[in-house]
Amino acid sequence: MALPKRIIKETERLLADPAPGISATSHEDNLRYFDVVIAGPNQSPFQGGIFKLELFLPEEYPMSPPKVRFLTKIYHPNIDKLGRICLDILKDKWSPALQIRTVLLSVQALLSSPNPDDPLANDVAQHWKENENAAIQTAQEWTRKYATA
Amino acid sequence: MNGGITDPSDWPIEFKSLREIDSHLRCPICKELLRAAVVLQCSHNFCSECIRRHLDKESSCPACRVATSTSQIRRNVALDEIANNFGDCRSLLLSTLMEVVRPKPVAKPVSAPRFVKEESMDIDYDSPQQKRRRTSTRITNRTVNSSQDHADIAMSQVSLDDDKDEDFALSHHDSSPSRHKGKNVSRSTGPVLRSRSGRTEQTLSQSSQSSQADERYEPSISAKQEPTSDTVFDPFHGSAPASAQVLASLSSSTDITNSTTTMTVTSTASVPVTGPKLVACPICEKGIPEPYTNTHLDKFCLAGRTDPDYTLLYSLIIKQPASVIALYTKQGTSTRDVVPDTNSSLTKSGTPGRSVGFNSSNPASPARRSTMQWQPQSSSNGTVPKQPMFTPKSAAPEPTRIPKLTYSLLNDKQLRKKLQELGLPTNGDKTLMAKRHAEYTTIFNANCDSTRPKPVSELMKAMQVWERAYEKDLEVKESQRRILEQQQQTQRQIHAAKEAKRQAKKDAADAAAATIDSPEATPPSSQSSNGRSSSSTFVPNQANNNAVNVAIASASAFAHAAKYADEYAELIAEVRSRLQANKEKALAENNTTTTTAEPAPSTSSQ
Repeated sequence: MALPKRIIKETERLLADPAPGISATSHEDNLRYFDVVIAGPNQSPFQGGIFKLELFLPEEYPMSPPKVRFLTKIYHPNIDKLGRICLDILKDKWSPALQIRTVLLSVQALLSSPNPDDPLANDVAQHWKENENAAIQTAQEWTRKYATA
Repeated sequence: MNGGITDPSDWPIEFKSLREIDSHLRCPICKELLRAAVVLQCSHNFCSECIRRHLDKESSCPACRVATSTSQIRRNVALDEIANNFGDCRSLLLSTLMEVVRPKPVAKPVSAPRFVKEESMDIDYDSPQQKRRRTSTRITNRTVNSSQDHADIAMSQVSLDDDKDEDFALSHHDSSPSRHKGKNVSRSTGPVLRSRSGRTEQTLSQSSQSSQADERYEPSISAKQEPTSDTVFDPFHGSAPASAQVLASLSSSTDITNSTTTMTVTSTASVPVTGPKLVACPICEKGIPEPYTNTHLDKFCLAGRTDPDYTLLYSLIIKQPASVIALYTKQGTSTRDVVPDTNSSLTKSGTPGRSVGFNSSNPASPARRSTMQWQPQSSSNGTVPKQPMFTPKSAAPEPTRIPKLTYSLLNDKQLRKKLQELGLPTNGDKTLMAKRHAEYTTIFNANCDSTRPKPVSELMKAMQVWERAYEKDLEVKESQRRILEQQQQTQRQIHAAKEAKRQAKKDAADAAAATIDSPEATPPSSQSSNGRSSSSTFVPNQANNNAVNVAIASASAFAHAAKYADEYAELIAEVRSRLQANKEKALAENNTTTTTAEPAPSTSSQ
């Protein structure tokens, strides 16, 4: 199947006018596969970290959501150790009016506001709920350890 | 050239309202200009086809998630017309605007405007338009100018309210600040002031900041030698006639007389009253009044002719606009005489009745118009100005849409019959037939919503394309499935090999344990501390050797382990044989085991 215009357009826009702290470039051999880098947002435990992600646009995109996964290890209640992300818009709340940029902005926002009440990594969420400061400290350590080049 | 990819960001940053208009005329799903615009109950607009495809899967509005269904789709005729006409003139308007906003110092003085953006730009510039140039240029520049002035005003008004984010951030994105907003607000006022002050330097630096759009639209003409007076318009600008038509067509929609009046006013203001500045021609180095550089190059310098007296022409132009405008206004409601070239060339490019927007002041009311049918208009009957361009089809019923089917309730035969009724092929299994029917239903019903419906034959062509894509897709899926199967098979083999190996380990451990259970006390302890790991990778019999071979072939990690296993195998075989011998020679056992146990630590430290 030919690449839909929309994907080409989004790819171009992401390159020409990237959202702050986010970069996404598609693979030359597979234009549906993107290498994503998100900078840890300020005032979050992930500040200073550079997080790598992969993003894949399935055949049905934009009718079905892109698949996004963290490649960098991260200590976050909504991201499990395989890098899978618990984010509603990547699942049942997907809308074709959303796009790569908005998805990545949402992921960035998720880093700023972890939600331990809707966990994916149960142990991390537990830690976050019981002792938030300690959990944040662990997250900072992990950021230093894994997310700084 | 990027194959007709258009985006709101194509518009220069100074024309923020144009960006807004552009983004509002786009479907949130496909991000293209709306095709057959429809509106839902929640007042969000989409392409008919896009929203139908979405509602096949989910029953909510993509923009606000309010529950909705196909039955709530309503045509939005006016919006569709706006989007269509905007699409028609978009690239022309854009290139004209770009030449105005970002005049580039000439590299190549040769004219012939090139537009690389869209297919609809295939307008033949060497055709009658060229002949008309002399009359229409005057209007042109004023139109451009006045429209820019309007746009400036509009911008300064709009710059305050900036709620709309084209990115459609959902509620929980709001925490992350939209960069879009900030950028627009900060920039929106600047350019206006700058362009008024007549400094191009700043405009140019702006152009380098903002997107690559300006590179794409880099006008190949624009013969300005020095970018010093960007508010002055080159009256003989290359694409002038075309822009005149487009802009005229834009403004004509309400009241042509009105807009021409503003044109006259701005025209006198925009032309440099102090007299034109002389500029050296890049070819013959003759001094030419700046606004005439293009004329000089196109018509005289390159053609090898002697230049006329520019000062004379110049004064003529200043005096003439009234008469030209009079001519323009006389044609009044139909500007057809000015536009037929655009008209015909656009019609040639595929869509009939593109000229609709030019005719908007004719008596047909919008409501009535919706029931009318477009007819491609020949420019030959353009003598009667007020003749409507489309003939009303009395009581033309809205084409009936194809009802959706519940495919699971139909058997093959019934489904085949349904397809036959629609004139679609009936080959393939039920899944294919159902998909084919669904696809056709979608595009047919979407076509019903269009104000420029395509003939059924074109839909059939689209179906053929779909058919081919589907087959190809199936092939791709089939090959992917095969690859996956192969992978699974090798995985199973690896698994089996692992299993065999585990069994072998167990055997080996048992065997080792059996041998270790020999009566002596000291050798087992040394064996257990140093040789435990070696005994666990030890592969004693033939079957297990095979398993190791498989493992070596399938996984490199295993190869590593197996390499050591071989080494240990030899070593431990030696140990075992000696132990065996020791059993028989019960007396000498202590001596032999201590000596055999010694090499073990050295190998494990390797």
